Amino acid sequence: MLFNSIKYALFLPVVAILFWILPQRFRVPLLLAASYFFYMSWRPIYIFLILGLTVGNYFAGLLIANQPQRKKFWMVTAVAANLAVLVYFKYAYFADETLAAMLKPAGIAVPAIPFEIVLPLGISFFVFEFIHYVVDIYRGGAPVKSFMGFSLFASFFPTQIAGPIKRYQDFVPQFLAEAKFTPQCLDEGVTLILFGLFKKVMIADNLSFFVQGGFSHPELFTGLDLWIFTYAFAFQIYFDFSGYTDIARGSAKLFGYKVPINFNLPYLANNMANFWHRWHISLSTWLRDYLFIPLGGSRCSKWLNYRNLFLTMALGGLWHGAAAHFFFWGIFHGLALIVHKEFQNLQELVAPLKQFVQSKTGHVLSVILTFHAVCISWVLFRAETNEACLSILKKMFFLDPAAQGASMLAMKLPEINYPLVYPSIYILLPILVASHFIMGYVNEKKLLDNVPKGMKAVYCFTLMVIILAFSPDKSPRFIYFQF
Amino acid sequence: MSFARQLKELVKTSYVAWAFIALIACDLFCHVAWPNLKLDHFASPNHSMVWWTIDDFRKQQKNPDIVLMGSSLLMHVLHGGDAEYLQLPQNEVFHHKAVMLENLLKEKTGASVNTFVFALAGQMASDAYALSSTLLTGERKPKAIVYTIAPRDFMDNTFSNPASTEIFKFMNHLGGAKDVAWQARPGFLDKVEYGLENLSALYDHRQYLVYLQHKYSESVLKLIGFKNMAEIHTPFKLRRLALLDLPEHTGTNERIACPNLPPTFTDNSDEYRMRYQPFKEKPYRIQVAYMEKFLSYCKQEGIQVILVNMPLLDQNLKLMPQGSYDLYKSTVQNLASKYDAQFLDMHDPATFKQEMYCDTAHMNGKGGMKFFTLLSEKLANDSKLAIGKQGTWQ
Repeated sequence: MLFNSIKYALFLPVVAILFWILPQRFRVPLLLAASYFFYMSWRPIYIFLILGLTVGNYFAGLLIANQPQRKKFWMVTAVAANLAVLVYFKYAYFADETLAAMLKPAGIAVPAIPFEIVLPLGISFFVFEFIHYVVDIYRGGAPVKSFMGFSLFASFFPTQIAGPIKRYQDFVPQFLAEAKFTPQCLDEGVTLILFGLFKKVMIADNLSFFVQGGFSHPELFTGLDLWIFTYAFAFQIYFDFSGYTDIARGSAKLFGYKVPINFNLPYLANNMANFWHRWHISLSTWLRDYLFIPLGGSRCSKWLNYRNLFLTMALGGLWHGAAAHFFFWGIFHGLALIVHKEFQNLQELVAPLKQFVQSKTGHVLSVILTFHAVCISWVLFRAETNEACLSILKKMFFLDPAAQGASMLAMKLPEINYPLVYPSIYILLPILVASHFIMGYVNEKKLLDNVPKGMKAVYCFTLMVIILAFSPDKSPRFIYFQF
Repeated sequence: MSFARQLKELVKTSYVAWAFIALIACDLFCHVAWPNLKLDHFASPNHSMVWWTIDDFRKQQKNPDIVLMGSSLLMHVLHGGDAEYLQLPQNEVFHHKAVMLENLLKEKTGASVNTFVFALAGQMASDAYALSSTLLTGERKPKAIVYTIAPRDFMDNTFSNPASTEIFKFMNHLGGAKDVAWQARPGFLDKVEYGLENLSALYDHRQYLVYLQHKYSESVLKLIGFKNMAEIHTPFKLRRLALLDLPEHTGTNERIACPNLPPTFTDNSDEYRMRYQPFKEKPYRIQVAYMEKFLSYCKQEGIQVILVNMPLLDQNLKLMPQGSYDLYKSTVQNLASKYDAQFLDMHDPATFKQEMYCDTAHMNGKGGMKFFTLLSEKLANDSKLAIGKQGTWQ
């Protein structure tokens, strides 16, 4: 059941109305039943996976809390079991193929996996939530007593498929406490859902076909075109994923629950570390707390710190999918973070450099540079093959002087797809860039806090009309559903 | 607090509630305004074969005497047959006249017969009813409909429900087939979507709104200097990607039937096995009911119907579950006699040999020519049609 489907448009209000009509004691069971129904609407059999992991982690949490002398054993066992499930479903084919390729020169044939493994939706997200839970209990947190409450934490349908990755300390107390309906829940929830849908169906989906054309056939385009495709993908993935997150947060808000934000205008970051404070925040904080810090974090020697950064980002890349290009994407970010650290050290030694970086011009240049570094990493993320990736990067970095400007073909491309709010990428992209800066300014000045209700109503009305009239009949899945 | 009071409070304080009320008001306004705006319901940014065909039908200066209807079986016969007959490539997007048939009828009867062909891939009996009851009415009514049928039009397991086809949806959008619109959507979600279309004028007219948006956006592009967009042709490699997303979209130069092609044969048995097997009684009965509605409509409107059973290779017939071909034939024959339609069985393996097919069901150019030759003979000699014997056909 996709967020941008009629099914969900019927499902969500029905569950929300029932939720507020029913007495408090029935609300958690209702949400749990709705969440399981939501999950089963894709592949019913996988409900046993989520149930099994829920039961296992619930008892693991209790054992860790109740057996202090064996808590490390139980924590390690639980983490290993969670990872084993993730590895089996997500990385079995990749491991098999990699092993086969490695052993082939030695004349050893590794047989292919003889059965089909279908990746369960949302597994990367709920497994990370379970790992967070058992590790935090090990670190001294109190386990969740209510089995129902724990089950809902892991399966809550708005965040079930693609996060944000929640923290049980923030989330479980919300639904164990008495909820009271206020018009604010409706206003904030619906506004977020509408904005999320707008981002997804009006922007990301319209960019999707354009991006696909460029990345599938880079040979047809010039270096400048490929830069434009890359910018377009940068915005596509941002609007797709942040649109999903907005719908998830808005849906949760309809029940009065707060789900953490995942994005904070990432393309306004002025360095790579700052980018990771703004992009997929729930994942980056998870990686920090459960991978980077256990590896030793930054309170160690410079080289160990760099090793930790590198490993964290490389594994973070692999988390996105069992493919070499995600691994290289992670490595790129690991290296970029190391370069950033070195640059910071250099600034400490060269005072004028530090002054320049801290100036307005320096800040703008840093934002532009960071954005382009992120864009280069998106080529690694999006390219369909390693060869295509190299060819795109080569064209991007060695612009053909004979090719004057971007080709008309690139502009014609998005016209093919239907329906399309924006016919031209050359109009759309500058608008998106400008909107990013405007939103940065609006957030900084907190201009939205004092907007009159009438203006907010006009904003919601406009979004409603646009979505109703211009939503495509067929909308691609959210990009992060595959992870 | 009572529910009514809570609701009143919500309407008073929630800006989302205000926006929702404004949306309802706007939609009501559109309900009232649309009929006065004389919108072009045919306008669409998505140019599929259905759209091209209907667009061409609208532009016909002269009303067709004979309308030919059918699925991809007729498409192959029409485009391949005429390309071979005229020794000229035929652009399928614009080719909606059975030229060879018209010429042969002229030769045989002396009458100038004007034809129009609705040859649309995947057409089911339900689509034929939707098309005829929507477009072939009033002044646009032909004298006769030659409806080419085959078992797949009644028993296709790849087909979900009558309202799922583009033809049916388009006809509904044009305001046709309303009598069956609800029952043609057996699924709950399909019914919800249809209900929403009826309820919301904005949702119902979204295709037109997108068309307007494209039109005005193009004007904006022209203003900023992009004047020669129409001259840019998208390479087919990229079109392929678009077709994955929107398979029905067809460009003006993308479907050309050529004459003198070397004979090729593709064994599509697997595809047809999937379509035919297992035999599903319910969808079959539903399509038969639509066929009956089609025949009843034509009888009521005074349109002569000739049902033509299309030739198929024996290899294709053998893929059907035992007895289903006989059941199909006898059912159609019975319906034809019930509604004073004629049944022409063109399935003749001795005449239509394998070299006339490009796969187990579709004929090539040679097969198309043979088909039109035989059809013209039968139509010319048809006493009910009386082509050439009535002033009206002249």
